[in-house]
Amino acid sequence: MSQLFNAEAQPEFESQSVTSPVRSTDSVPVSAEVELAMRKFWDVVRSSAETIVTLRQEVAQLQAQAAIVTHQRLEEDIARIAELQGALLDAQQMNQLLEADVANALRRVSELEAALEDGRVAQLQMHADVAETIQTLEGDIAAAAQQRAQLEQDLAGMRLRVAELEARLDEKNDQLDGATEMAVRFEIIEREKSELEQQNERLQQRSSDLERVIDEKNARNETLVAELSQARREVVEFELQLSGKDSEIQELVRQTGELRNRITVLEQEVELASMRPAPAPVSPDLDAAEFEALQQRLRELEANEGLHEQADAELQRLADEVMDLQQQLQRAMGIVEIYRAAGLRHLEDPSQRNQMTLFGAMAAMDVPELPVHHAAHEHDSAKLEQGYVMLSEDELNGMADRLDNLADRVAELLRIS
Amino acid sequence: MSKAIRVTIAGKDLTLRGEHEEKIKQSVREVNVQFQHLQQTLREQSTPTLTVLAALNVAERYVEAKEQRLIDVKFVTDELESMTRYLERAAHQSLL
Repeated sequence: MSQLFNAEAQPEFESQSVTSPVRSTDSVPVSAEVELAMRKFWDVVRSSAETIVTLRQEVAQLQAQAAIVTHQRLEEDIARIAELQGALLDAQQMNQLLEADVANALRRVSELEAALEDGRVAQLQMHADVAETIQTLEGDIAAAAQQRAQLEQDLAGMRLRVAELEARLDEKNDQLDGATEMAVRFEIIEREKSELEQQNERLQQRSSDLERVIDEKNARNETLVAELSQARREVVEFELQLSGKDSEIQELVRQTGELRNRITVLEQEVELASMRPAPAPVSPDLDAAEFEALQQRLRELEANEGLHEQADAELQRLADEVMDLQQQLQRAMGIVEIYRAAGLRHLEDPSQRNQMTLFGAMAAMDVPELPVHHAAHEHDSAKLEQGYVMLSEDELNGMADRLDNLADRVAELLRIS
Repeated sequence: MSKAIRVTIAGKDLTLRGEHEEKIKQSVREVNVQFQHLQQTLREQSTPTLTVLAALNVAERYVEAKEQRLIDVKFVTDELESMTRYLERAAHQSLL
């Protein structure tokens, strides 16, 4: 209802209403009848105002709803119009098609009517032809009866022939069963052939993989050959240095012999001097000085005697080291020769590529493994003649490490930086 | 159409003419009530004096009624104007 209107209007009209009817300053009041009538009239006016406001609100709501409904109806009408327009176009197209169909049907009817007329003429002609044909066929039937009798006789002969052919057919079926078995065997052979082809492909793949591995090993082989050449050059230099050291050792031995002879002579002189009685000193100061000199010389000789023993021990150690190095060098050179012979043979003769078993294929050959130095001393010539060497990749790596260690020891011994 | 109406006013019979008989009789009764009231209150006064006094009382009531009518008319006019404004506001005031 009209809450807004009541909230604003009610106090105003309450203050001005008939509850205070005497608004004038006159002494005569408003008559009670008029006041009562106006009070009732105000009630009617208030209710009318509330009704008016309520109606206005309802009108506003109805107008809003009417706008919404109108908008919806308008959209629906527009969609309906579009739909009807589409339907109209479809109907027009259908109408055109139907008109074309009707025209075609009319044309077809006229054609059929013409064809019907032609058919009637042809029917008459056919009646005549049929009658003639019937007469001809009656003659043919008689001839056919004769031919039928002949054919029945031929049929009896053919039945005998059919029986004979059925017997041959059974025989052929038996042969066909045998052929079927052969076909099955052929399929099995084809399948085995395909399996063999696949296996061949795998072997080819394996062969290519092995060739790639061999190429890699050849590259490694060349690298090792270069390293061995370098090692050989170092060994030659070491031998030269070793010969120089031998000369020095011989010189030291010669000097040691001289020192020994000198010490022996001095010891004899000291012994003679100790046994000979002391002569009267011609010059006591001179004898004392000589004696002091001799004592100094004796101390030097005693010290040199200690050095001589140390030099002997050092010489012995150096001689042992040289012997050990010579043995190791000999073994290393044997390994180098074996390695070089195996590697160079493969490099120089490509036809022996698959026979080069220096790397990898030792397990497949089922050859007992031997240490490198033993194989080098005992079996190298025989293995070389057989085309392979008793060396694995790990053993070759071990040999290279040993050569490196040997070179380090030589460098350390000869103080080569 | 006027007709003759016989009445008695202050004890005197009279024949009157008028269109509204009942209104005439009601007026005669009002005059008689005033006259009898004065006659009972003022017993020593003569009939003509009482008649004049009754006429004065009736005239006074007429004046008072006329004044009351003006006041009532003005009151009713004001109230109707207020009602008119109230209804106009109800009819034209904006709604929330």
